Amino acid sequence: MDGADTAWAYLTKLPQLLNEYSGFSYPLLGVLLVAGALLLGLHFYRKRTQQAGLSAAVLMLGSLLLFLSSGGFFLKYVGSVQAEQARTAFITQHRVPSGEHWLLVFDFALPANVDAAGRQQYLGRMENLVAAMSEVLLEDLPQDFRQPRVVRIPTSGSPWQEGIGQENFDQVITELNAFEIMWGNVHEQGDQAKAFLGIPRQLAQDLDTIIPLRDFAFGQDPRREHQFGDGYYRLLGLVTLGMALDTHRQAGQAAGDERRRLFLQAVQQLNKARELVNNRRDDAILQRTLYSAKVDELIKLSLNEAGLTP
Amino acid sequence: MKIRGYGWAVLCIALGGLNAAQAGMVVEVRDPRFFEQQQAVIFPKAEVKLVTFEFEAVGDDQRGKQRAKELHRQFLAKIHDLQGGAIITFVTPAGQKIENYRVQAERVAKEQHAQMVLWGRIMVDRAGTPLINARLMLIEPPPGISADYKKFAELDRNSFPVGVSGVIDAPVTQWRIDFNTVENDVTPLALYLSGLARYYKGAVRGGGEAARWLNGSIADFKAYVAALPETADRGALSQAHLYLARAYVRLADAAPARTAAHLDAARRHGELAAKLNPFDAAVPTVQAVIAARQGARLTELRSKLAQAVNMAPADGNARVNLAVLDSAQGKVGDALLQLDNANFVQEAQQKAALPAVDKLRRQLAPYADRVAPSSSAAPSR
Repeated sequence: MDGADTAWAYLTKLPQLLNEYSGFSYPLLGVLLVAGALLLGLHFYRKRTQQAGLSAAVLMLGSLLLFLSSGGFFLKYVGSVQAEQARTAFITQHRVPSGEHWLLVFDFALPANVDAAGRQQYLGRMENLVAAMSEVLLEDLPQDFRQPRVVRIPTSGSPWQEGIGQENFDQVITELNAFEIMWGNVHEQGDQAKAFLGIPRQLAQDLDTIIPLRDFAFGQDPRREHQFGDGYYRLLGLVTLGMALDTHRQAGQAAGDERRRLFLQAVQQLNKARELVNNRRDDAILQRTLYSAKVDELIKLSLNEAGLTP
Repeated sequence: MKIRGYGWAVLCIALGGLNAAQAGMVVEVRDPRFFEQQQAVIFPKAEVKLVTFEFEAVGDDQRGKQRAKELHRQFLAKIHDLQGGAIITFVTPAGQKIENYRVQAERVAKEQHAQMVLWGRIMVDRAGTPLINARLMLIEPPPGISADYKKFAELDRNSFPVGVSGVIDAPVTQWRIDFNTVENDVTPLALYLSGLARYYKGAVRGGGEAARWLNGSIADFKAYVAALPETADRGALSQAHLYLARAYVRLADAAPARTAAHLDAARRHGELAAKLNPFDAAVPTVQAVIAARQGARLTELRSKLAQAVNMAPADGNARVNLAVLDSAQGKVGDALLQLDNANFVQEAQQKAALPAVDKLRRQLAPYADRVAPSSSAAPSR
């Protein structure tokens, strides 16, 4: 019975080993596969040439290497196909329809030490944050702008589980067809958050593509910051700026009277956005974006393109 | 006390006599479907009517209802002498809320034939201070101001005199004012609304009666701007100064003995409005009207009107103003281009053509075939 137990013990370890091998890189798996094949090949070659074969232990080692590395190859391939399918499904589910303006808010990254209850509380706060931002846009966005949607995107299950940052935000925007995205980190203490807003490179002209928003109290009712605080003006200013830049981009691709009309609309939107958040025109972030000299230039350029300079 | 026609859904809390100077009603809405039904017009004979709603609060906080009633009381007290002034305030009982304000507020105000509607939100911060965000929409804006403009210019090339009469028009284009967050006190809001109500009344009258209401409007708006520091709410303060400028211009017509002083005051308030909100296209237009009435140089007028066009390129009226001025300078080609552009911007926004465009075009027609675009002439002044 000892032999059977030992065999059973080895068998139960097999899935673990296969799983481990599927985590190896393809070149490493290739080397191991070749090594296993060489050992087995050497053994059969010796047998064919009437020489003594390799020892049972070496033969077993070769067979295992061949099995585990080929299994690893297979599992790794299947895993990558599944990951691609999951990625495609996620993007299909969350991709913004053409012509729509959606601000996608990704779940903020949490500190590692948060327990399940804390995580649940945090998800509730994310929901409140998105609701507070949606209310602002629904109530206070001027009619010169089409109503955008604010949509929360769960990080779990997304292709960007390592987080959103400078290196991948533009890819995220492109793949999800968003006009702006927001992401952030919750500080260790759990009641403060740092958020960033990303504007597509193709829209941003020479403006910053990543706009760091000021830290805000994540532990408080988000309405305090986003409806009654500075966050209100930043949200309105940066969302309207993004929409105006998109109109400007569309104008550049249009022709004839449609081109004139869209450039006119772009100027109108840029001016309206500036007027809308005039109460915080000294805000450092708005100064660097909406009230920047670059936007002055865009207004002049759009007026010229529309043939409507006085 | 119930009012016939509202059934059990509405409880009338306070009602002033319909013909008395003070007319106010707080309507408690108990039926959630109340606003879906056709409502009878309350105070149908009111000349200036304000509809307000309870401030939407978080959770079970009752302060949104309290502050709305407080604003109601203060406004009513301030318009005690304003015959034809009225306020209706909609509140819900404890535990209920009025949602979807913008759409609902606008619709209800229109049904009530109101000129103004105010709604908003309230929340209490960690220190226990109630913060109020109020939103004001003008359903039917009051008349703005304008200046008649008549000029004869002689063109350089053929000495053909160009005679133009037109109007530089500065209507009220700001239909909505989003007040910055205020802490607890609704007194400044009541002052603002009272100033606006008096302007509504004074702007459609002439002579001594106009002067009475316009002076009242000026007093309220001055008290409002004095009550707030400059950085507290630049947008609303700028609008208050703009209404002060308009009121003074109208006062100059109503009380001609002090025209120069009134226009000087209007100019000062116009400058303050521009300083507070350099992005409001209505400001340079108002300044241009004041300048025209003060007999300012054409270059100054043109600069203001061009500024207005740059800031609101889709405003056809601003382009017509500029065309009037170009015509007066003998720049017939430029004027016609402005009129073409005015038509284009109206069409681009699917708006009807402006009658002033055709009127000015007809005046310019005799000269149009004689003048190359951008040709200029020495104005008569």
